[in-house]
Amino acid sequence: MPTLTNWTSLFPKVNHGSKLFAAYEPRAKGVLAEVTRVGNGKRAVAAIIQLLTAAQARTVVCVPETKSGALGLIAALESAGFTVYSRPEDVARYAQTADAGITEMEFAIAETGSCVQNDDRVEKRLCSALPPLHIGLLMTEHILETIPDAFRIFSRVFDAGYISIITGPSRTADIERVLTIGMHGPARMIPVFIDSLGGNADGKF
Amino acid sequence: MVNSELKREIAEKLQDTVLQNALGRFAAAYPAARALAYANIDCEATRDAISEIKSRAVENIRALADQFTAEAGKRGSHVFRAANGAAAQKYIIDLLTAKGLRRVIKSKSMVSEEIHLNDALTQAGFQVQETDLGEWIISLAGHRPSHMVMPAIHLDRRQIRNYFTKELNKDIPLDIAVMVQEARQALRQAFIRADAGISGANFGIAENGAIGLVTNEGNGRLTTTLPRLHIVLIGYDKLLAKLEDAAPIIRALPRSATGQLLTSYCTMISGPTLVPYEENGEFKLVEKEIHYILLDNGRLNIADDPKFKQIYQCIRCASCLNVCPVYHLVGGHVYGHVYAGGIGVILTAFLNEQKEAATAQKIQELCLSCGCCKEICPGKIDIPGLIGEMRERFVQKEGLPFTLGIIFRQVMANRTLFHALLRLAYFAQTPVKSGKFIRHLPFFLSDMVKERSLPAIAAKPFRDLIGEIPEKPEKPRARAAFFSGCSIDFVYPEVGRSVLKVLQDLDIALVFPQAQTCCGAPVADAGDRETLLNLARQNIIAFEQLNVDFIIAACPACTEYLGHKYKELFTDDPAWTARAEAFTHKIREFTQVVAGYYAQLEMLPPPSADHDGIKVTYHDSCHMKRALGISSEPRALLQAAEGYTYVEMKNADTCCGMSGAFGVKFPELSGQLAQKKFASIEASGAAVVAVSCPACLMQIRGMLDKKAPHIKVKHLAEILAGR
Repeated sequence: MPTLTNWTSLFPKVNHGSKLFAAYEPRAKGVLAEVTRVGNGKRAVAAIIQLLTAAQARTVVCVPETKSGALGLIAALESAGFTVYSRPEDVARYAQTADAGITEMEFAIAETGSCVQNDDRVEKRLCSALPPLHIGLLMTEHILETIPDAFRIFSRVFDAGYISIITGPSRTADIERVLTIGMHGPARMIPVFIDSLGGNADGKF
Repeated sequence: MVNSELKREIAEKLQDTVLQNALGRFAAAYPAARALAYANIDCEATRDAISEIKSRAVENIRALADQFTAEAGKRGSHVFRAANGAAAQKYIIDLLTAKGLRRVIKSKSMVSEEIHLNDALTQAGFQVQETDLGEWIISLAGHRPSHMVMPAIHLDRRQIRNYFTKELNKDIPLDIAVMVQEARQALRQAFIRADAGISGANFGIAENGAIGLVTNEGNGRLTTTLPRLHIVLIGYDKLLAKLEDAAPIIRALPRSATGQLLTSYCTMISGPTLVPYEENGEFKLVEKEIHYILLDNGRLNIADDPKFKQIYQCIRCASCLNVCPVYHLVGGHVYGHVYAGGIGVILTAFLNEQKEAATAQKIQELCLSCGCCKEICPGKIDIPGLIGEMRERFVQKEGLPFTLGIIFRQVMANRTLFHALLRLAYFAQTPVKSGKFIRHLPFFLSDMVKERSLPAIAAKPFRDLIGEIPEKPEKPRARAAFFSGCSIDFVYPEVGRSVLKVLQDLDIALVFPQAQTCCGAPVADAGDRETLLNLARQNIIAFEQLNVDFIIAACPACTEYLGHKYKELFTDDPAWTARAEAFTHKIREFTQVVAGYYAQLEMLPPPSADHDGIKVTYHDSCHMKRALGISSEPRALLQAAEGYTYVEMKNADTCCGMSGAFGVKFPELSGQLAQKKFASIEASGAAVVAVSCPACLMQIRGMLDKKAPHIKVKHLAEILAGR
């Protein structure tokens, strides 16, 4: 059985919520995750466009799921002038040369400043592993407190498949123990926390 | 006894300034980084959880392996159980050959190092590419890893730049960020082209056949995402019953290994997913294959061993290396195999079908038994205890070296002869005695001492002095017996006199049974259980008929043996176990007794005999702090002593380098450790160093005598006696 998708239904079993953002944020920033938090969907789209523009990105690989679908993210990026690939075969072709990858993530963990991605779909892994910049979308209320809490969720949802816990950018200290980012994975990891999806790119809210 | 090859390697490493600098910086930075990383979780509860989970796993290891195999199979992964390295190599070579795959990328796997997989694959004509930066660097250098987590810690940026320049055939600037980018680009191409990926596993889960991978660089994710074939090398010791069992391991592994809260990537995989595949310019997603190689290579045998099954509690964080004073001096290569440091000694002995047993026998002598690793091991493995057990089993199998056999079994086991020879030593040493120190101790581990200054045997041992001292008090508060140990008795009788005075000042009557003998620590240290048992019986007999409230020792190594180890010695003999328990129950460490009475009687230590405000510092003996758990009482006593200003030295609890026979077997390493201790003492500005162990007294006094004779070293008893 592949990894279940209704993770959020299990959250009430463990301590979670946007109240944990204050504990999560310094830990994530401590490992050089570029934590971004926005109030609503519209702002999320604007923030992503701003981030990609500032990074001088042109080509973006993206795996749309419920959040970005609700935000109309791909259409918004395309109308802002980015080339976006989101079909699995296209992601497979373009992820290695894309400037940025965008995925949706399931929850964050305050204890370690981490973000968890249900990674059964290989195209999500490609988007979050190959480009130099990775943007991950999360809901602010989906922050868990501890690693054991996260494993309580995993033990309910993870039967077969692939799960990634991502904590900041790719790093190495193998030369003289000097911390250097961007070894094999992205040099920049930007979790975007959305307080409420309400308010999409069309300004309905 | 000590292998000359090993001695040569040690000398070489001590000359390697790159290594010395790297290890020195790391040793200085690690403890604080680790402490900070554990600040937001309960470290001890996590260690308890890991040791409980993993010790439960080993009890059940065959059933777990069956379940893991079945569950992985249900999810479409193949499992091959490899009895040894050769079987694992053959399976991989056959698999790659059958599928016509040639280009192999690897993310870090210690098991792969253990079975020398790269050599086998290369010889069979496959292209093998390490992708972990450190592993790639050492593969370019042709080295073995010198640390389980930081394999290239022994190299500096210049050396690495030169390897890169040669491999990539272009000029690389001496800039770590640029070097990392060059490595990324070179290795990225290898990832894209690879046909097969080989990874290790940090754990395997029986309930769903999943494996977990912990990496910082992201090579683990790419290795398991891009190629069509994923081969996992996993030892039986990595199996866990349930997914939730992995939580404390995930918590502890990065915190203990590198002081990180978590590595950048922690990946869990169960069963094949799709992979990208390019064919004639077309990209599509195709099914991959996963093959697990569950490696035995000695592991199942150990699972049945009542003592050594503990090594299943190892999570390969390498923190035992990170705190090892000897590793800090010599690095990993001296350990001769892929697993270095404390746990490495044991893994080397038992993995790889004991082919490396001779190596292990050689390198186990590098253990100081200082206990630093045991104190921090996230799996709570008693590493020094297991090394001691190794020594014991080796002696049972091979016997003692000839001279040691004579000294231990003919001399030390016979107290009258042993003490007569110690007395004789006083006269024999006289011609070569210079000041308080002599060059040669003419017997007693005689072939080991030639490179060292050792203290003189006293003219009159404590056992002779005690009869001359008038017995006080008339109405004692308590009656105690004194176990002096050989050092206080024959080398430092003045410490014994101080112990006596301090206790008499507290109105405690002290008796000294003349039949007491060596506690057995030195013979146990060499693995001679037979003589240890003999000495333990003699001591129990010497004390058990006395009408005393407790037995006091002022040597922490003796105290550990008398108070803890004796009762575990007579497992097959209930009568002796009962006698040993009654004996150990009465054992007290001197400092703790005194601190307790001072508190009860609201007494203060006597004022300093020196000038007012004289600075005193305290050196923790390894046995005192980590075996007996006593570190606050001596400091509190010194802080309370009028006329002294207490200063804490840096790394007060790092071993001084004496550690029983280590100091005479490895004088150059012992000297380096003494040098570090001297630097800490000097930097503290103290004029007096207080110690609570006669062995530390011997080492530190010997060193200060040469380097800074104005700094005094005193046993705490001497300070408390107002001397």
